[in-house]
Amino acid sequence: MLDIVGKRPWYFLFSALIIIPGIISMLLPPGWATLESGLRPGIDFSSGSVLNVTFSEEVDEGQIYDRMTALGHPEALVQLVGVNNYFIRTDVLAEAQAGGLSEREIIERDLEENLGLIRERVEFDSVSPIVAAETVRVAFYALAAASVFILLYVWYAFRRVPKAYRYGVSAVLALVHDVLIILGVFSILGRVIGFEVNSMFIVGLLIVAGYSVNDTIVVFDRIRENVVRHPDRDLGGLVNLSIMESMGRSLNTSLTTLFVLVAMLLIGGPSIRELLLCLAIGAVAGTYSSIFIASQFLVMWDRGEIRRFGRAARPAGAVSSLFSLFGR
Amino acid sequence: MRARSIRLTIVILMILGLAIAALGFRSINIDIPGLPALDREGTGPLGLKLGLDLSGGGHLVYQADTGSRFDVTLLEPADLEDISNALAEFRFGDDLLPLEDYQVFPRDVSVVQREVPPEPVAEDAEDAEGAEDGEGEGDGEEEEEAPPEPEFITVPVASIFQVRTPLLAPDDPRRSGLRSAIEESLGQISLFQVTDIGEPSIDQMEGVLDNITRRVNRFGTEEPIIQIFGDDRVIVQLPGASGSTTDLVFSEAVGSEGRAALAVALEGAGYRDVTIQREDEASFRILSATVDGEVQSAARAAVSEAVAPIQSFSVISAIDDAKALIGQTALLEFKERTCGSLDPFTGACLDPTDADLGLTGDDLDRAEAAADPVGVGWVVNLQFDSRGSDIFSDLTRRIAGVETKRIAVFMDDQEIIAPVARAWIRDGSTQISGDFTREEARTLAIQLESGRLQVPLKLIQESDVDALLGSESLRNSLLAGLVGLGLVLIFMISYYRMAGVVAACALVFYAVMVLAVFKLIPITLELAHIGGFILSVGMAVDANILIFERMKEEVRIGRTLASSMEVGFSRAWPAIRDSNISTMITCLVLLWFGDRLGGGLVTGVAISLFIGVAASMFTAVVVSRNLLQLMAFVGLGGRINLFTPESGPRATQSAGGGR
Repeated sequence: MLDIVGKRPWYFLFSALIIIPGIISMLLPPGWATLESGLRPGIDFSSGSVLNVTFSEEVDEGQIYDRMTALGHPEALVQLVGVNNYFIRTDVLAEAQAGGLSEREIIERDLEENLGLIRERVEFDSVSPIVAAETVRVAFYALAAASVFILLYVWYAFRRVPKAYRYGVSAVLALVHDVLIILGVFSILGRVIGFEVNSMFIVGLLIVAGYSVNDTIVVFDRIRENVVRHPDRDLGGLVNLSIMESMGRSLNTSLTTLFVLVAMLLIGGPSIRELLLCLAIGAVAGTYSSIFIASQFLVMWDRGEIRRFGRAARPAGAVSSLFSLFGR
Repeated sequence: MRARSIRLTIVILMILGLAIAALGFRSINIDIPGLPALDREGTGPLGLKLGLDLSGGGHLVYQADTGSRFDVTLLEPADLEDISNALAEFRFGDDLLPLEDYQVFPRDVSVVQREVPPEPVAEDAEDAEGAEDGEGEGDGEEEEEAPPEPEFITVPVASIFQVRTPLLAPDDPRRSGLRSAIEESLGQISLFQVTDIGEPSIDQMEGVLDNITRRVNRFGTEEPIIQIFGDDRVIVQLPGASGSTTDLVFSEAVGSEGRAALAVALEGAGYRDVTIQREDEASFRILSATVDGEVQSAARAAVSEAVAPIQSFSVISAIDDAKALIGQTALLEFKERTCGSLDPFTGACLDPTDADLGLTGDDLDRAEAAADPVGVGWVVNLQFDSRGSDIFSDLTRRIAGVETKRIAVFMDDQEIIAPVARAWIRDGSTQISGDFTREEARTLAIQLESGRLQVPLKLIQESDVDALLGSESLRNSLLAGLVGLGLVLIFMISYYRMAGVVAACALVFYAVMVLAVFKLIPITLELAHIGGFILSVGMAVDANILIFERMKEEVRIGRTLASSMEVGFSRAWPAIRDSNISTMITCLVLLWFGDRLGGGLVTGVAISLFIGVAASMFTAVVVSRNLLQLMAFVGLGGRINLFTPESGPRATQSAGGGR
């Protein structure tokens, strides 16, 4: 049988290779090393207006940008999202004053006249700074609260297994891992291809949180069954057995979920692209973390490796203990 | 066992039948006495209700703003231009703070004729310009030729105006300094009053809601959703508010023939869903679903040819129109009504004519509901300010006891009440009585209050989707969903064979059931729901896969198919239960927080995911299981190889060895 548990430090290293650059990319100031900023807040988080416009003929980004500059919006960001279909992002556009036109109306008319904008295919979003700050805060609280409840439920559901709280903590760890992976990947995507995150992204993050725990518990259920059946055997061996036994299911489930998501990514329009991409990354990360993070963390905890690692947190010790972990 | 299975099958078929019926009939209307009536109809496919991002429309979120209000009355009227210039130039305190984000509302605007003095300043400016261009000489000559003639222009002036600013702190220098600054630059002040509008009360929010509802209804969009959200926000959803309004003015009067020609010309040019409203003899307002500029200019040409020369033709998009309506300050007015005659039996006022009094909500100090001190019902107490009291006193002195006179109260030009004046009221303190219930009196007081103390509204979020784009999104995501589901079915059947067929049936059942629940609750479907739905499809498949994998294991160790099914189900159940319950917990937490996040977006996802997970548990445990049992009964049970991809003694031994 494949020895999955024995290689556990590598899995954490692998995740760290995605998460750490992602976090660094989030923390680095925008524009660093000629790249764009990291996790690019869409208007939902930073306030502003977005026009999703479609033109009747081919138009290049420079032409749109020139029109926007002429209309007093040199800050506009123009991004191609589909066939003749662009996102134009600006600061919050002014409302109509008495008797006049709103800025949005002025822009639409101008683009219609000069570049052949199709007026019936415009999508407009505008968010003020008040809403922007609130969304992130509430999402954070919601995730924190959900984590606490999940920990408590898993603790309860696994009460017949010794040290049931460890399962709860590990499940939440996997959840945090998945959320960090998504944040990291989007932050890097933001730098490389200018991908923006919006409130759909937050929605996706929350759905992934639900999926992640769902998947982890299925694997844990196997471990629970085997631990109850063989209380005398070493947890590491049991975890390895459980993972192998449930591998077929894990792969099949995430594959079928990915089918649907990839089909929607290819066919669906740009409106839910962020959501779908977030769910697709989340489905992969969720499956990975159930097997390679949550379960392995249980084993590490059982063998006291976490405490050893924590005690060695002093600079000199950390390196040697890291090596001792990989040395096995 | 067999009988139970058959009974269960009947129940499942009944549920399926009900779900299909719920989806099959576009509109559902069931009214059983004693139960709340069930009335479901939507515009989407299968009669589902579609949200704005799938059907098109506008989503607006307003927040009640706090602010300070300065009511200023000058002894002598000042030019409006001088007032706005003065306010822009004021600097207060040691830090020389300007007034920020302020608005001025003049109240008694009139115009005066004024002689324009010859302006040497202008010449200087042009000279300077000319010098820059290097063409000064030619310009200079022209100016000398122009004889200075005295000119008269009309200048708007006002003596009463209101300045609104964001809420100022009690010790803000602008609060204390504004009065003297105005006196210095605009002349003596006879009345100066500061009002702070803090966080709105529940009653005030209700007043705001009332005003917006009245206006949006006048705007005439279908099924608007207007609701208070949090403590100080109002969500306005305008489905279908994605067309345009055209204001058309002809240079001559147009009769009914012209109007008919107008309708033909507009439709001919490609205007869709046209409604023509006549404003006066030469002007019309045209509501239409068309926003295309080319069609509009074609229509303009066609109309001027077919009807009459056009003086002006201006188009604004419907959503801007709605915003302008919502953003308007509510106008509460008291007017003097003279009845042409009285109904001899009821005493009702017939053929009324109303005269302006210049008495508005700004002159009101307070309006509140109170128990009638003498009678049994409820009344609304009103208190006017000093200007209001004077006008009201003058009015009541003239009309008290006159049978044909009323005081008509209008809100945004709609009459809300028109009571009779019983006595001459000198101190501006009066009450409106009329057999009100407590609720009626409260509603009236809230309406009057909302016209008195305007709660300023700020648009903090807007999201508009045009109808065409919405229907495209819907088509794309439906197609993608079907393709995705198809792929899953193919995968399941090719991998799990007969069991896969069972899973496929269960998945179809699942999809029908979830959609029926969406319709019956009803849930307004948005793109985000589709996201939640996709992931729950994944979880529904997962439950089936869990069961089949367990079954396979049992078959490998040599059990019969029937007993493998039973054991497989009971082994898979704890995993299905715990994993799905934990997802439901996440959904509930999201629901709890969802109200504050993204204006219902998260709530929607949480609800659809919750329904999806619950339905997937049901289908896996009840439907799949029962289908498998039925198959075992009809004799397919003997052919194990139909159910698992690999089987046989070799596999049995190696799997068994792991134990």
